Amino acid sequence: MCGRIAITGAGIVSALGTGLDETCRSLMENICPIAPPKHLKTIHSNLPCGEVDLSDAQLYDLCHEDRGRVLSRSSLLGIVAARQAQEDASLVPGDRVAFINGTTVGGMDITERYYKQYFQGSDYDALIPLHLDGVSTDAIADSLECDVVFTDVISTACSAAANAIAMGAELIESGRFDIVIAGGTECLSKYHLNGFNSLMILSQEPCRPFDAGRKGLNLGEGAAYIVLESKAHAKERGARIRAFLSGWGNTCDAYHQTASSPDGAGALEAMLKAIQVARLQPSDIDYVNAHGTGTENNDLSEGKALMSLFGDRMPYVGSTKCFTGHATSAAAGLEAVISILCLEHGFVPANLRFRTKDPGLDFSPVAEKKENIKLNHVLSNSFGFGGNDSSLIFSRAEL
Amino acid sequence: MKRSPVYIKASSHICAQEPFSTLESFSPLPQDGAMVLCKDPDFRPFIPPMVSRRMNSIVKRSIAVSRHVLDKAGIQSPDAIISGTGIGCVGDTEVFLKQMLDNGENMLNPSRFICSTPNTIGSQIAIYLGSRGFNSTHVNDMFAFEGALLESVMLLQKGSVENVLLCAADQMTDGLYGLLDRDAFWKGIPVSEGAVGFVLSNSPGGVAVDDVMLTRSNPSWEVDRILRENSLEWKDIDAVVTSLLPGESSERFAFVPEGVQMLTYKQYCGQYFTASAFGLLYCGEVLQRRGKSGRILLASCNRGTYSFILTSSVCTN
Repeated sequence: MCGRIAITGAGIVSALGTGLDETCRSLMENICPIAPPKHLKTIHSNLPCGEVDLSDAQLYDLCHEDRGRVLSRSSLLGIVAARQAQEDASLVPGDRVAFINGTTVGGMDITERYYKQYFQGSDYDALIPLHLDGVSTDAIADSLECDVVFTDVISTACSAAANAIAMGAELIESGRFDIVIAGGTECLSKYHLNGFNSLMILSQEPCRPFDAGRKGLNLGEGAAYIVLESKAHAKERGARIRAFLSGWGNTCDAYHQTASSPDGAGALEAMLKAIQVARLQPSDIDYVNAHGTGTENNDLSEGKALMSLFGDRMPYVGSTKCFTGHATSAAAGLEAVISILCLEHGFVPANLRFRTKDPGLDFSPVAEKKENIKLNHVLSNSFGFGGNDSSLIFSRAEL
Repeated sequence: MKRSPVYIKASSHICAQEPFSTLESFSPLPQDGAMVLCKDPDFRPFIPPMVSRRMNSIVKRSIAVSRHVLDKAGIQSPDAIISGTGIGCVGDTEVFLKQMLDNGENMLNPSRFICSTPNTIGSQIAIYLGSRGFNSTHVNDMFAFEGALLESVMLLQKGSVENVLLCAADQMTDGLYGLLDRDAFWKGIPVSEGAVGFVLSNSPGGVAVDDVMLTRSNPSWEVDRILRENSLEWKDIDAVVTSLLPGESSERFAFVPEGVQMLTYKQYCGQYFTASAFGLLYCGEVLQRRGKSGRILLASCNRGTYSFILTSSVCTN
């Protein structure tokens, strides 16, 4: 049943820029912002990242937040994106809204800066609670003008924002809320850059998803939210519908804490569930915005799952992490907004830097951008540590 | 809109009380203790020692309580595993963070990082049980459990799944206690930890969860909605079980009319992020022993947000 959940607003901040227009332009013009970190203070200058090119101070100004009030970078990025989404959907005070946030890092950037001082005195006590994912989420909810009467935070690592969007869809379908803002936020921190580095899955060059010579992923950061509404509610208040969320699927690979199963069983199951919920056939999918991190393990496992699902009728497949880096818990939010832009503007972004087909896969991703095409359904994959695999399907508004 | 209830088929806990114990043996925690840790069971019946040695305490407790509650419910592998945790595997997070701050950003051991994400709990349960169904983790501080319960209820009401393993767990460390102790919220009762598991089902039988919601708005509006949508009045509520600490003023629950019995549970489980899961277990224990039909509203409050869980039992005698 396509078109039951309307998407009436979207907001995004990532390495690609701030807002829908800048994001769309960067994707269309093949601008790759992956570069050594500039704002994150780390010794790992050899590890390129998809960093949002705004200092914390610039983010405070962009949010009109008082710099005396300490906020985690995740909250600041979240405020920028959530306010855009609210404005895009023309939500106003009095609108009763649920806010579902996907995040894992939360306020770790603050914790890692002040942790030692916390144990040396009481000067920084007020900052301690900022570590909590719920506190950084509430800071975003509090910054909105609409009445956020409900918040929830989902942390399934790299699929968190997808599961936040799915939870939002269930809240609407069950009639509990008419309007939900859902997505995710994640900032770069030394903690998670070093964590991924210790796993030896970070590439020292800009990543090359699905390429035979891929060397790992680049971390990214950002925040993105979409506004979900029942179709009836959106029509009743005359909201502009950008696209529909037509399917969502969640499974657990149950294979390994940090590796995907070789045959991509969990990934395949998540995609099948999403297609089933959308009441579509695999052949209806025009473009797969892949998880495509650029690690040896993910791309092979996801590729195998795509081959099982689509056989010799492979739709366009590409990863936009070659533009944004892997923004972990925010990734599915960024890719939801990018998928919506693709549906609205009829294009598929290039899977940058693809040169050589992986011998283990019998398809190649979209090496060059495709323009002026009609996309009806886009499937977006997000797979997290622990095998938390989720797929979302976005469909064109005019179907 | 009145929705169909979901049913608690089994519940179990590992916390400051004797592991897996029931209402009769619950005893109040000593009021002078600052931190009271879990009473761990012998893990060998649940996890082979070779495997459990590599697990942190929160994952071990979560797997043990999950296996215990699934056995009680007679289910091998649940259709969905939904977890709630306020701060996840904080012990491993602290170790990795300290290594990074003390030794610089080099030569870090990945094993602590791998275990430090909150979804380690739910995914380790899934890996251990071989459950490839729905799997999600909610981390909304003091309301992490309520988020997980609400998602469980929605999936069951929709019929997407027939049963859910719901697990709520938090651990306490010396480091975390040292930081939380600065906040008034954590004073007045022992800070503790625990893992509570439920098997929920959409087939009737057992204590029912009739409604669950949290609100950042006016709590009395939300309670009124819950009563109205479930065709109830205050006189139908036998007791309100609150998140209040012993001796704490009940001012924040002033919307409960006089004459309604008020009960608390944190004297048994202490204060921790997902303590309200123990609160639901406590409601179930009380309802099961009434010998007649009954209704209990579980109400929690933190930083201006309230949660409400309406539970009931139908006496079949």
